[in-house]
Amino acid sequence: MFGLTVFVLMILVAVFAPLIAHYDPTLQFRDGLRADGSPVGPSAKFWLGTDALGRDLYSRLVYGARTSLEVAILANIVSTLIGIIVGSVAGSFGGVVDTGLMRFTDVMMSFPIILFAAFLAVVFRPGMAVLIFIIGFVSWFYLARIVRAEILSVKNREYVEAARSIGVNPNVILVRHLLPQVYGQIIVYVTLGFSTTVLYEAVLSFLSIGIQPPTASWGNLIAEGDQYLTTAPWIAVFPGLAVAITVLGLNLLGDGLRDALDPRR
Amino acid sequence: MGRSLARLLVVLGACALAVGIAAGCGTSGSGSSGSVNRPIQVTTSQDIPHTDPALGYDTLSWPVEHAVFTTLITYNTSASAFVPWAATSVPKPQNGGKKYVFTLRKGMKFTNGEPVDASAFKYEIERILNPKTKSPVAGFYTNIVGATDYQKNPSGDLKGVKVLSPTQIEFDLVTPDQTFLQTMAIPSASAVPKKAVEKAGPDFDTHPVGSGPMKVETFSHGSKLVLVKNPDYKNLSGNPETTEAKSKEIDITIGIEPTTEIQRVQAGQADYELETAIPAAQYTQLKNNPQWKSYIKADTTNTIWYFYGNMTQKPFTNPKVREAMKYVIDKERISQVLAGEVALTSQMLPPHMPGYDTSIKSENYYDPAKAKQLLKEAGYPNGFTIDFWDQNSSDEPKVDQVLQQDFSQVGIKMNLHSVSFSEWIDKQESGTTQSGGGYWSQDFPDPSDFLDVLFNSKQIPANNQSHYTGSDQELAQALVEPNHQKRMEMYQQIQKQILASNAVVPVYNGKSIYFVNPKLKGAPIDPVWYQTYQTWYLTE
Repeated sequence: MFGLTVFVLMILVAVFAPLIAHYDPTLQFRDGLRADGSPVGPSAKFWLGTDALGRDLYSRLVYGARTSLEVAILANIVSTLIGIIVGSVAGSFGGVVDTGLMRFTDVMMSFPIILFAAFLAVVFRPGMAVLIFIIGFVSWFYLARIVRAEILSVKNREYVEAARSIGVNPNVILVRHLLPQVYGQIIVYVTLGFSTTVLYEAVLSFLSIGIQPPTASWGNLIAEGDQYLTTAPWIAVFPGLAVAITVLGLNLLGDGLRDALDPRR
Repeated sequence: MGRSLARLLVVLGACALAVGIAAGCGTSGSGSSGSVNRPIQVTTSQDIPHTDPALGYDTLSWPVEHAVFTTLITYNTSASAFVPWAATSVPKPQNGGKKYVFTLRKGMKFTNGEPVDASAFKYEIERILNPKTKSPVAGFYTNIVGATDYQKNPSGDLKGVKVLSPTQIEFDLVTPDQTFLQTMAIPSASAVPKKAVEKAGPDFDTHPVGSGPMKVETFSHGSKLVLVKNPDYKNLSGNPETTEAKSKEIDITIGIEPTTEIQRVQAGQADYELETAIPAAQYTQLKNNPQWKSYIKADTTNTIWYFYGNMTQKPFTNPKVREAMKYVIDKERISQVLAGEVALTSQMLPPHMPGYDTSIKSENYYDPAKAKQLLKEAGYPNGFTIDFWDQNSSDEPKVDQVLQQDFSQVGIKMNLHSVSFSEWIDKQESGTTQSGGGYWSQDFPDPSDFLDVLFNSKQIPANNQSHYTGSDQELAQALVEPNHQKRMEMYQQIQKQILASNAVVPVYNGKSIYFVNPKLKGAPIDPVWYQTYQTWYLTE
């Protein structure tokens, strides 16, 4: 329940950002900085304080939700597609193809993901599109395995045999008979994948290889706040809490969905 | 519900614990021993690139080389004049400014026993000009007679450097050049021991053998560099600038994050935080804290940050547009976001540079209304879009975002390309950038090092990003003018010409701001070297 609330809240905040935000997130206010250049704390004018350039943190947090969510959804679509394709091809073709793809998946899984994503981000100049593809490319492994496992378990059932024996195109068999068994699992892992992609976006933007300022994202807000932890803690703490609560909520939602949809329980 | 709530509490509890531990780590720490003879501890985040004088060309390598090697002449403490070091005196130019003869002191030796004589100085110049060395400073010595031939054929003789005797060396120049002595005072012109260099090969850069007040005991890239006193070095000239080392050992620990460096100095585990400046985030707090105020060591450096538009590309071909740029930029806001760690300026020459024009007062011309007016007169009532390139290191992105907002206020859309340092250098040197943030740090304290390098048409595109060409003749004349006073006046005139063309908008001179144990004495911020390791010592 908590997870669902968090998820819905995040979607609402992201979609209605312009209505919920207080100011333009890129506007640097003259009075957003004290005379000595230090950021202003939570106050009547700036509800969660300002950042190092005098921009309203609350507004940036709200728009950051939008950015982070956009990246998470699109990256998830990328990773889900890759996962389904790899898993289905491996599961339905079997043999050498299966072995090859699964070993490839194993190798990819054993890579330190963050380092690999960081490496990709250095090779390709950072930006929204690149970030989405990078996160997508490092997030499909578990789904591929799940899809493959499910397909293996149903592909020798009687009704599938029957379809094959009357000459139904293998691709049609895949889409109409095998994949539907997996939809439940896919939904669970997509939801759990959400939380991972939100986290990846935060980490990569924190390392300055994700979303670039002045566009706000929770990750780059935390990065900026890192230096100000003792002098202006609000800059890192609020986005940090946002990430933590969102990730936790999505995880709980995913767990709940898994419990609800798992045919074995 | 209960299970999820419990999980939530565990996670939050773990977070709180982690934060608590992290906060605690900062303030605790054993103080270092109070002995004044203990090694002085320096910390820095960036690796020291070189200790070989033929290869070092940056602010981290030069101070080490200056402590480990000896040059014929060096700078006095205010960098306003030369004092003799290995030479007995600073020579006067002969033959119309094309000939310099140095007489060396007797009895100087390298730490491996080889003598420091005229051939050791000639050998270094040969190494620099030898293309195999890939020296970044070769350009300083190409005005020596025979240098360009030597670069093509390094097995020949470098004709313009004559070893008249072990204690006499002559330099002949192709054209007279008032900056020649500068090139003799920088570490590149140090004496190096030929046998040791040939034996060590590329290892010489981590195991240098010199004749200066200190020597490198160990150097492990990215990790640590240890300097110790050279017991064989004697201050033969008696000048304070060429002193024997005042401390026994200085340890430079590399790869420490700046915030951590500050904490180490506060905890007494380090004595000197070696970064360009204290992170802006902490600077304000430390500045106002009575306990830490005395640790802050600051001075303006001979560096400049400026805005440039490429005068050969629209819209900067239009002089009114260039003039408008002066009124668009809010310099005070830039200073504010940098926590005041810079000195605003309205000229290109920095305050400690000979030739600095005290009649040009620093002003913030910020006036968006006037800028819009000028743009309208120039034919751009609706503004325009420009591409702006800058490096993405430290606080640069902050400055760029302030500029972006300043520009948008007058209707100019700025596409900000904030890229890595090396990409930025490459892009700028290609000469294709429409506009950008320019940055220059002196090679040596002579106005030609700023005005000639940044505004001579010969320097297009590498260093002259604005593509300004209006003062070539005057710059050539100033380079050879023998009368110092007159020469400085000539550079001031040239600077006025450049500023009148609005080729660039000078914004600020950087400050070096270090966080230093007040018990460390003899550590001024030297205008050339920044750190003069040989003069440092600890007190009670």
